[in-house]
Amino acid sequence: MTDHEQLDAIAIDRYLSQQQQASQDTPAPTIDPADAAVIAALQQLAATTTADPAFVARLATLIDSYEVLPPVIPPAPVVHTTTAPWWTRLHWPVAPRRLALALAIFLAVSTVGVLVTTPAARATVWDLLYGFGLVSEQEVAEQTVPAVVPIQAEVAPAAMDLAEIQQRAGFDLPIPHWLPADLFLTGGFVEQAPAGAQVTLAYHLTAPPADGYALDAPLLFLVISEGPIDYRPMVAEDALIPLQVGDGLGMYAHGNWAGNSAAANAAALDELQWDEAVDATWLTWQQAGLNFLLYTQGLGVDRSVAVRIAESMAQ
Amino acid sequence: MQRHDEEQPQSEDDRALAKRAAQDRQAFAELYRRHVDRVYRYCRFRVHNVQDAQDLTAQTFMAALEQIGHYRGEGTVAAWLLGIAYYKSVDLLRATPGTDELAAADELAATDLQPEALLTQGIQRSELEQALRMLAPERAEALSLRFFGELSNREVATIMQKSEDAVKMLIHRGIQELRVRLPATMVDA
Repeated sequence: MTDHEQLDAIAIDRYLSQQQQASQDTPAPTIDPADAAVIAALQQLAATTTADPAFVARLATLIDSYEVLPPVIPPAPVVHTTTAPWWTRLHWPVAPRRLALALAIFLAVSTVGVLVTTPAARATVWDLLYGFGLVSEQEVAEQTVPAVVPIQAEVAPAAMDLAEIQQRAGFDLPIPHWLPADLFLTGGFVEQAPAGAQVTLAYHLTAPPADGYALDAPLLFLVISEGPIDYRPMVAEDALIPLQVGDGLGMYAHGNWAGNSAAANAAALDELQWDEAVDATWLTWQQAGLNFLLYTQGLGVDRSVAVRIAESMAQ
Repeated sequence: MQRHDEEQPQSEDDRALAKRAAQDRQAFAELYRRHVDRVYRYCRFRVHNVQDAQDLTAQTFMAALEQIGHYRGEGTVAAWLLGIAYYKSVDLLRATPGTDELAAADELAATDLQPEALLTQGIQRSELEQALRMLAPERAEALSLRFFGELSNREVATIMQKSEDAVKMLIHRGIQELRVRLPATMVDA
């Protein structure tokens, strides 16, 4: 740096500071007219650039409704089974925490309600409920609605098709008009919560196997609810990214909790680390008075694809 | 102490609002209203497209909302917010290298600005935007924080973790680089 350059830099800094403070107390330092022209142009550019008022209003609304949670991941409402869960017998690398969180979506939207997926899927969901220690066999026996228990005995009601789900939901059910790959609807269920109906739709690339429900398989869950969807703390707070979905704002996250069998067996939830490299996406948004949660795993879905799916539901 | 390093008069009110904002959403909303344009403007010229700028602005205020209880009043609220925006933009630009130029190509066609508007001294907006995109990253950062974030030299230095002299030099060289990149007829008009 030359002395001349240093003096120029100081002069420009003083000139700028006087410009910013609109100070008339002292005369502005003399600088090269070409520098002054560039500075004036930059100031003009700044003065004539404002955020879109519609965006500002939407973000204000989002901020107003945004619930700040303490940065602690509370433990899931777990009732531990007294028997060894079946997931301890699984062959990993299936990350159990990922499966647990995928399952947690089901639990978040439908605790022990009416399952209307295929019989095989229903049975396996219950296997998972036991397996992850989220529900004990005793708890199920004592607390669930009678319709649940027969699932284990394979006397569950017939699976619902989309029309039936629509009818049970009681509101005009939006569905995605665009999906990546060859995903197709493999099941769904409806819960009547106090805040209104809540629908969960599951999409897979292949039909779930008859003897199990491969939650480690590529899948897409779509939750559509008349009431709020509590997707946190299933997603790490730091991973959440606000973004635009249609005319509104949504919250997006990529990744999932890092985990392995040892961690799943031993670690508390608040010891887990969020892993953005995991092929999983989460997107929540609102549309036409409904709340949405999109979850995908193993599909290579990124932010733009997730938003495209979400926006296709408005068509 | 030079006057340009003194804080803006509004900052005291901002601090009082920031103290209340941890418990009072309306106070945070007022901070948002005061600073959203400034944060957006900074983001807009860091990422060079409206969509990412809006996302970045939203991320900044969401993070601020989460962290407002940790704001200690050691600097202005504006500098604190732009510090968040700075780190968010660094993350974004690191995560999506090269998209800046791609997005910029579309941006001239679909923008919140008026590409052909004449700014001053014969410098066209589109030309200046193009020149800003081509700047060396640190110079662009310093100019963005100073001009679009409206921060003082000291605040820019704090955010960029550089000395004030280093920031002065970055800004000086950034302006010289813009002069080179802008058509001579514009700057010399």
